[in-house]
Amino acid sequence: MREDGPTTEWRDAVGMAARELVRRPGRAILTMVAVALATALLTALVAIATTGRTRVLDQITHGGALAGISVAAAAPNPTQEGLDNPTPGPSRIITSSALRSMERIPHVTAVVPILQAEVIVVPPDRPDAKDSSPEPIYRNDVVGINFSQAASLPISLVTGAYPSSRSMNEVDVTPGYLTSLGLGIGAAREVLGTDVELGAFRVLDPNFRVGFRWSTVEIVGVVNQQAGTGQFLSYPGLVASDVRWTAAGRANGDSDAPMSPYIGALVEADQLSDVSRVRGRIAAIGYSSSAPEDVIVSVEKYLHVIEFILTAIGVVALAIAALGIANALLAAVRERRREIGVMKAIGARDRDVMRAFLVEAGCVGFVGGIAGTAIGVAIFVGIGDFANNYLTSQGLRGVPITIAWYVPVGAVIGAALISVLAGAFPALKASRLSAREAVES
Amino acid sequence: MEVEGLFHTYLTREGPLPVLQDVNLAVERGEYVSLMGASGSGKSTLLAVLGGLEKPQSGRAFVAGTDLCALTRDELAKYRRKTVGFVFQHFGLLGALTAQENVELALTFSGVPAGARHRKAKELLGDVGLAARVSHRPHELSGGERQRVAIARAVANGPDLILADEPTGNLDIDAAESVARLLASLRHERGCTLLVVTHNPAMAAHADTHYALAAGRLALTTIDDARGRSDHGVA
Repeated sequence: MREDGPTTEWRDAVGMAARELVRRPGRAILTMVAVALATALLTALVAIATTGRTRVLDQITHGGALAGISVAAAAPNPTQEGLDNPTPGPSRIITSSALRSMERIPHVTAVVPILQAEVIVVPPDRPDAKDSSPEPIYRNDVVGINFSQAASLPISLVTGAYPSSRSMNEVDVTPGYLTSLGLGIGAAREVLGTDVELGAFRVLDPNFRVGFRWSTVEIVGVVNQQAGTGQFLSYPGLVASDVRWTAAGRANGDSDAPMSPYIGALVEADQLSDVSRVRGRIAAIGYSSSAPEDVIVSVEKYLHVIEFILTAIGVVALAIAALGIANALLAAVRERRREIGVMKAIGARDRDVMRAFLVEAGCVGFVGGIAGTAIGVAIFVGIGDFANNYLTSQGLRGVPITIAWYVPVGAVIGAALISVLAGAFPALKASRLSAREAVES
Repeated sequence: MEVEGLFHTYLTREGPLPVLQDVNLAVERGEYVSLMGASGSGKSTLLAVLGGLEKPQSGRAFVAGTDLCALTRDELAKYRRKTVGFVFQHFGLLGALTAQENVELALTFSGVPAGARHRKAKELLGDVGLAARVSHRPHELSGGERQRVAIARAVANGPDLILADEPTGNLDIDAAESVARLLASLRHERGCTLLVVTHNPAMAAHADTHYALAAGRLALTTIDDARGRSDHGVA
């Protein structure tokens, strides 16, 4: 007689497992809660670690303090080759054709030229000032950038808005401007809507008589920025006309007047690994560049370590939950020795019994995994919101709260698989029980 | 069913314990056999061997042309599924399942499709007078009803041999008589062989042939002898 009949169908095995779980609800719920908590911890930690590595790094390499590649209006210095922050060579005008050449470099996603004009700043009088003396005037710079490319620039909005592309008299200011007025970052909203006068100057004749071209601009936002050195940011139109005004003074002997319309450019590489190659090509075009490659690589390494540690903690939690499942199933095998014997007496094969227990373990893992993943995602979103509130309160850009699809899917599948693995020994033990157990008293 | 020179010994801390010694038995198809004997006389072991729950250590056991000594674990499982049906003193019903699902379980292991399983289980439960109790769980049934469910499950796959281990041991007199009559009628309706281990002379009275097992040795006996043994408390 050969054994060639079909085993129990999966549907039957799942039905039996569900009934067994319902039959002992206390134990089943506690085991599922253990799996759910472990899965929640794993999901949250993996999501946080992944976000830390990808999103945070993405943020600091796209618009943060460690932003992309800064191209100077200067030739490269051969003695400084390979340094993150080299001393540039002699000044060199950044031309439109040079910018186009940079755009054509492989793995370059954006080239953002940066204009900057030196201006005299006449701040408005503060209504709450204790004395009636006017605010002191001072020299500073206006940085001209295209705000539609803000995502590629080292700029983060603290409060307010970016200037409108249709307006020539809207500017954003940096916290440095607030400091000039004796204000802290907490008072950023106070300057919104106020006017400030900016005067571009020009040497009018060889006697260094100076003339001014005044603009009254409205402050619409406060930003952190490392695109240029100025306290004011505007669309390029306003700055370009100021630069042209001042540059005309070279004809009257002003050697400090700008030669190039651009003080530099920001080049964004596709990936961090492309930065070094792109910098080489920029040098070949004839410009000095700087990028915090070493810092970013170090940050990435540390984030990898954090990711590994957080994942390891989650895996340990899941392993503990797996031991709980194994223990619960071993107890079930002990309690159900006679039932297993009866099942075998009425024809169950070893593999039928094994399948029944594995499916039971898998059901515990699957249900616990779904619940745990939902909790884990909620924890992640909660922590993300908390972190973003903190970042924005500190004047930094928030981190997008998104979770890769494979994290929750992997968590549910992983919890079910680990549960099945945990159930393997009890299932094997059950399957090897003698059918004689059925007639033991 | 034919058993020749069957020996079986358990190893205990005190040494080998022979439970079956040179057991010989021949049962015709459709015969109703009662087996009596004191506790520890080897009744359950003989039942386990004949039911394919345990392999004999020596001797030969043929049931429906199958040599039980030559079967592998999987082949024994198939033998239990197709050739024998068990009725236990403790009923052996799975507490998580309804009466119908308990009967279906035997059919599930035989690979019977779900629809056919449902119909067959309901039909069998109707045959044993439990048509109105199909969705009840074991704890919602009386002892006699549980044993009827177990009997319905035992015959679900149309076995050649039904082995009953003290089927009335946990029942009151009325339920025991009802179960005894049910088993006897099933034997007649289905033509299967019935081997019943019992301490109950009323149950044994339904049998065609009576055997007694004492100290591992099997001997033919009569219902009167069996009653006498029972009256003396050594049945």
